[in-house]
Amino acid sequence: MASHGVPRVAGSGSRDTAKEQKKIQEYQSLVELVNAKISEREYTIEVLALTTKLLSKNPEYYTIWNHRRLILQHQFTEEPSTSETTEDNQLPPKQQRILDLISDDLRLLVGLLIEFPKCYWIWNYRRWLLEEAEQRLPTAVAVSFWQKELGLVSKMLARDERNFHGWSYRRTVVASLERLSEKSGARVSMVEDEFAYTTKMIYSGLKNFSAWHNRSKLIPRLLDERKADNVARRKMLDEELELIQTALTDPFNQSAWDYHAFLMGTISPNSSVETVIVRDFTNHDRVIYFEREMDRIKEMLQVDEDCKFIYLALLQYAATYLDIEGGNKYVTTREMRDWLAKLRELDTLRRGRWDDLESKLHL
Amino acid sequence: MDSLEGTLWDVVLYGTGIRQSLLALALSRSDKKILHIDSHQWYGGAEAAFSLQEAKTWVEGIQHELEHPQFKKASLHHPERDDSQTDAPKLSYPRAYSLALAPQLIYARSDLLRLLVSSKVEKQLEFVAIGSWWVYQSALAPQGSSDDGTADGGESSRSSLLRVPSSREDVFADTTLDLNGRRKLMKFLRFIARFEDEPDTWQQHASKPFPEFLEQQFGIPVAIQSPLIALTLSLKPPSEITTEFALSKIATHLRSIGVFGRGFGAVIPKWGGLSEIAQVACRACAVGGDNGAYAAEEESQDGADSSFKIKLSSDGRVSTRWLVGDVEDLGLGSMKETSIGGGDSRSDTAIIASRSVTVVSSPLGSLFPPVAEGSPPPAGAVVFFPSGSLCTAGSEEISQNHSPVYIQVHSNDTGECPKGQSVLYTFTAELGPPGLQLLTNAMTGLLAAVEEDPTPIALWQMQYEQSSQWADADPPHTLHAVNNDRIICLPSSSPDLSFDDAIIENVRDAWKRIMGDEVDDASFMVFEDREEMAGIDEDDDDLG
Repeated sequence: MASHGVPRVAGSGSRDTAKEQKKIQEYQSLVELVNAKISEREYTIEVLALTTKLLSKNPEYYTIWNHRRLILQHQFTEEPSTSETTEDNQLPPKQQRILDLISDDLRLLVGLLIEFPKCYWIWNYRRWLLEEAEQRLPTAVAVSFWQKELGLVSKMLARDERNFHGWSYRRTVVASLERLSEKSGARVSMVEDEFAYTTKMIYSGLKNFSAWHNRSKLIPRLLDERKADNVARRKMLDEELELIQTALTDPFNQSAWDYHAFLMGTISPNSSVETVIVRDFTNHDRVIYFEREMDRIKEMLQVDEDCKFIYLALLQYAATYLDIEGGNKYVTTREMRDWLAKLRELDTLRRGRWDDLESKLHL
Repeated sequence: MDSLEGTLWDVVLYGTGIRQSLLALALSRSDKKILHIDSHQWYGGAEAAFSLQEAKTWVEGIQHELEHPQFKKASLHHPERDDSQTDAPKLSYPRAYSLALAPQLIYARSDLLRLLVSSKVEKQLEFVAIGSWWVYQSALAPQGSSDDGTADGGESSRSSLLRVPSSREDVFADTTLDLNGRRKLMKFLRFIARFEDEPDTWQQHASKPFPEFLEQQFGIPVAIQSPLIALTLSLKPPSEITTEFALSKIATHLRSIGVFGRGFGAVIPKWGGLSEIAQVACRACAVGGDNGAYAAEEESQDGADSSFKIKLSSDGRVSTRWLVGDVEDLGLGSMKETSIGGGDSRSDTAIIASRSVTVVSSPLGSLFPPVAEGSPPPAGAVVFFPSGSLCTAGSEEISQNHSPVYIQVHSNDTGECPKGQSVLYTFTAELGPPGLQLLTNAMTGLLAAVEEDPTPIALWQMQYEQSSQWADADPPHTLHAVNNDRIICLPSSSPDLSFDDAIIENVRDAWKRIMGDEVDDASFMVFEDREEMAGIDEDDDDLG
């Protein structure tokens, strides 16, 4: 037998099943206790603490989050003890209490969020807390909560820039701040800052689908707010194409190809994003842009002739190009057949897809 | 301390260099009685860290041939202070410095850190990050940026430092390269990430020069190869760096990035390089209940049965079953040396380098840009001076054929010098006066390239040559046959820029011989926490 005669290493660390059993039992009693208290409508701070304990072990148990909401909602309606005096510039005691409860909860849960950054329920619950704040407290207070959230989500995205929960939450935070600014009189737009933020995130992580995607959503708004004229719009497009070509120096970066396709979409007629960047394209203009981009993509083959994404892009853009200018000899059927053959060679697993593409393009 | 006369030990470890110290750590939980001795007043041997006063003593020791013969030609330079200028930068008191003889950076992928963790000593150490790597470009050299190497030259250009890209993002942001150059670099980065899986691309070129490989397989012209060559940390001229060696080093570098935190891949221990690790390892052995006596030394004699006697100069004779140490220190023979200086200075059997340690009057902040958000500020930087970037002795023109030079720059965050200053550790394979001139030119070039006003100056400097034995030394046959098996000779330390995991192999082999063949390899340096054992407080370092 293999283990005979092998000297024992000090502390070989076998799993302590007795310890585990104890932990499981503790957890189960805690669940029973919390559920019992809730069914008896004991919406107290003590029970709140019990749910905290439970959720720290298992934040995915979403029913407990709902219990927590019930407890807090009840607490929000409670009158504070009358011994608290009000100063002139402070909130009335009841509102102060709500503020304290929300603020404590937000602070308490930061640690849990950092430990479980991809747990839907924690993000949702934070959003709920802030919505409660918006409903029950003065706008200025709600704004300050949302601003702290912006700081928190930036910190979370610095830890993991590809966490889509974070990006989605960020959009919510930004939208809320903009909405609240409107409420208090002067509407503030955060588009410029958010655009700069996507630039920063792209420089720190080129394969960031979320950052590129966010950017594509922001650009149209950005141009509208800047009241960009046709010249400025062309400039933006040219600069973005330059940027994405630099990102495509690694042609295996799919997120870059997605963004490039978005930009090409803004140049294509009849696409869903046709006029979001440049609005005054003539057909001739479109042809020039397509040819230039396709030339640049063909250049990539000098270094990376085995990258399927290049051939795929060439085929897709060639198809659109022929829609714009059918009779032009810039792209030949022969060329397209060669690219398709390369695709088949490089990616044998997707034979069906290439067959489909072949018939769609009438090759 | 009681005399050691007549005592019996299982192992006598001679010297407190990194190998002996790690071996002490490896043996610290065994039932072996270990006597660990060193002839110096300090820990660390060839990996020691010095205050200014200790450095002076050491340099004088080398000049009087009292030190290990791997160190030669040492000198110290301490420019006279001009007391009339009260705001001139000046040296702080001697103990404010802890200058490392072994400032080797440790890659995340090195086994060393894993072993320090599993042996439970890692918590006693602090590490700081190595951040940026730079390639020096002289003002006098052509400033190439395009793919085909054409460029404008001219003395009106300034000397500059180009940051070495270590990731896609770095290549993306590198505006000194055109799109095609960047494509090629990206392709190489993708290849190196899993190069072992693509033997067709490189196997047949394994022992051929790396620059040729880059040009032929990746179309990367010589003009833009320096950043990649920098990552090999080799002191050889590029034409002598084999493809196999280069790919392995570069892969280690790139695969280490991000392991501990964003944007960096290597660390150095605080307070003086490997000396801290040696000290902590020695202490672990002392705490383990074995004796950490530090007495003066002497020669070996033969003995009887399974032990033999050795003589310690002040404490008489002890008996031991095993004797471990450096061949020279044990007086068992001499290191093989190649002729010094000139043509034969780069041999296969020994590595010899000119070294200097310089305290500089500026924190050189521009060399330590932050690596990434949320990552610790870097405290180390590597600057590479490729062939063709420096003038050699007695010339105003750039030489295309000089030996490359490396400078490791350490900020005061390493604890090696006071705030407002930094330490330069230089390395080159060129020896003798030409080597020293090269080191000086590199240092001057660096201090000019950071573009600070006033230009930083050297406040203190020591220079020396360091050589190392070949790795598989056999003990010479001057001893009784019985004892030959019981004397384990460890190789002496190499002037490397990064920690060589072969050191761990040396230690593991010695450990196995001492523990016997039945010992389980997997138990090497794997210990339980001391808190689980009776009463011993790991922080109690009053011993030794």
